Amino acid sequence: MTELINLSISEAAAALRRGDTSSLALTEATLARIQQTEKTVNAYAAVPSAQALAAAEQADVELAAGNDRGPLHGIPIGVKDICYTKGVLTEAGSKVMEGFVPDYDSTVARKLNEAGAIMIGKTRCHEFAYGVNEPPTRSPWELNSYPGGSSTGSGVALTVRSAYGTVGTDTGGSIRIPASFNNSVGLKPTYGRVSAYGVVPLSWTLDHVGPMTRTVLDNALMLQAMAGHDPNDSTSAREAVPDYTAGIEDGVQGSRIGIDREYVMYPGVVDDVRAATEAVISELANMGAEIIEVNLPEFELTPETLFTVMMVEASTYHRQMLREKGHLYDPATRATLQLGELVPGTHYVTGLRARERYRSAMKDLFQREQLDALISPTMPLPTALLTDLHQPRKDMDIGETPMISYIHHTFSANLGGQPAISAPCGFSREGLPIGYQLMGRPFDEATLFRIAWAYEQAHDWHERQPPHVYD
Amino acid sequence: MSYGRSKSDLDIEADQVAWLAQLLGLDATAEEVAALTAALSNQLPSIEVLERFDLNDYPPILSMDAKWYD
Repeated sequence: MTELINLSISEAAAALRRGDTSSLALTEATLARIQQTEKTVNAYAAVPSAQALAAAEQADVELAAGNDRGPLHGIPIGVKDICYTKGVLTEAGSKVMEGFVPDYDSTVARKLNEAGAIMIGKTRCHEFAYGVNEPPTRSPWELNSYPGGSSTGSGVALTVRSAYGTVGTDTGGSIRIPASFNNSVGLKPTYGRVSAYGVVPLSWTLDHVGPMTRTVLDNALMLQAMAGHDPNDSTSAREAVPDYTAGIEDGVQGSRIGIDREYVMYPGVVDDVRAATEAVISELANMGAEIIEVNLPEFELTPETLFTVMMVEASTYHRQMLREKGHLYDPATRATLQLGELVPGTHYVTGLRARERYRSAMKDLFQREQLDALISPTMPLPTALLTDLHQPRKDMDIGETPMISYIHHTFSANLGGQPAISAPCGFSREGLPIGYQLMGRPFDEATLFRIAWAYEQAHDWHERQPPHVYD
Repeated sequence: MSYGRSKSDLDIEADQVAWLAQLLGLDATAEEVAALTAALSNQLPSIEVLERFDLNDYPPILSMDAKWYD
């Protein structure tokens, strides 16, 4: 079983086509792994085993008949519990939606199904992906620490090998935060690249759906299946979907990668993270990338702008439910939704103006410096103890809680709608994963994959696992 | 409540928040009103951070595509 569950998507796909394994074997191994690890990490809200096994048998029949739907065919994938899945429990991590079973698939679930993926389960998340309550999922790297969110189970399932790939959503960092804390690769694609139809909204103008995987190549393979225009989603982009793996091995020679050290290496970044990120930068430079020092004062706008826009939009979506089922919300979510209703409309529109200023400045920066990407740490510090999350940081006096520090590098890509990827780049002295982030041009996910793939080839960070959850 | 990084001397009375919440139809307990008062005192000054930047030349992002697609 161990060999099977440790395969990446691309390795499992190759093994399937060589006849070395079957979709049924991959699915049985994954279900056994879920059985083995769930008591410890609680990554799944629902596991439709019988449905998954039947789908795996069907995938084997199709592959044997030469009906090959592509690299995800027969591969077990977890889907975040805010994505509608036809006939499968979808509760969005909330008692408000307890027992809800959708009668249709979200577009992302449908597209993965059409690509032949096996929907192995619904991964746990913060309530309605808001990120303020405490989900029951535990970090396999340190059980008392924050596993990241809001795509919490999607990250943890990758670490403990109870899914080959997962779907996450990201409104302010909810793919990249758990990816970083779980030593995984997480991509927030360009806004509109992946349809949000059938995904419970948090903030319409900031929500993104994206892939979470163990390797960069797997991430490209998943995005390929997930991306594309969807007439059911008015925010869905009409941009053509390129072949994301076509140039992935082309290297970084001549790539121009910017860094705004003043903002991204601010005092809240701990030494281990700073050193790991600088090591990535040095290595990319040694591989032929050009590192450009830049300065974007508008980064300073991002926390207040995103909080204002997100809170108002989230409270708008929940307005009626808050009045009808208010007592069913977690107190932290309920309080944040109440707060969003008290934010004046003038503040919201000012947030949208600030957003335009930020986006315009970012565009000018990329064009002026002819950048391919901006680099930063994903998280200023590794994961913190759950009990410390909302307390002022103990390691430095910067007036931030760990939870506020965690959004320092992630909010900007949501505001600008640019793609951003987080990938592993080392471990802290405590043995906790560290990730770095690349933010790119709109609809240029391929360049991020190419740079991240080049770095990944020189390291085995992504293969390392926490030992204690394997017992 | 974890959101909001601004700190200010904004002096909001719990009574004002309770009144506003009631006006909006929010069912907030006394404990929640106290938390909301603190959170709102933190949130409202966010506008000052945004307005520190000149926004005069920046219309809000409110895209409206009038074309009808099939």
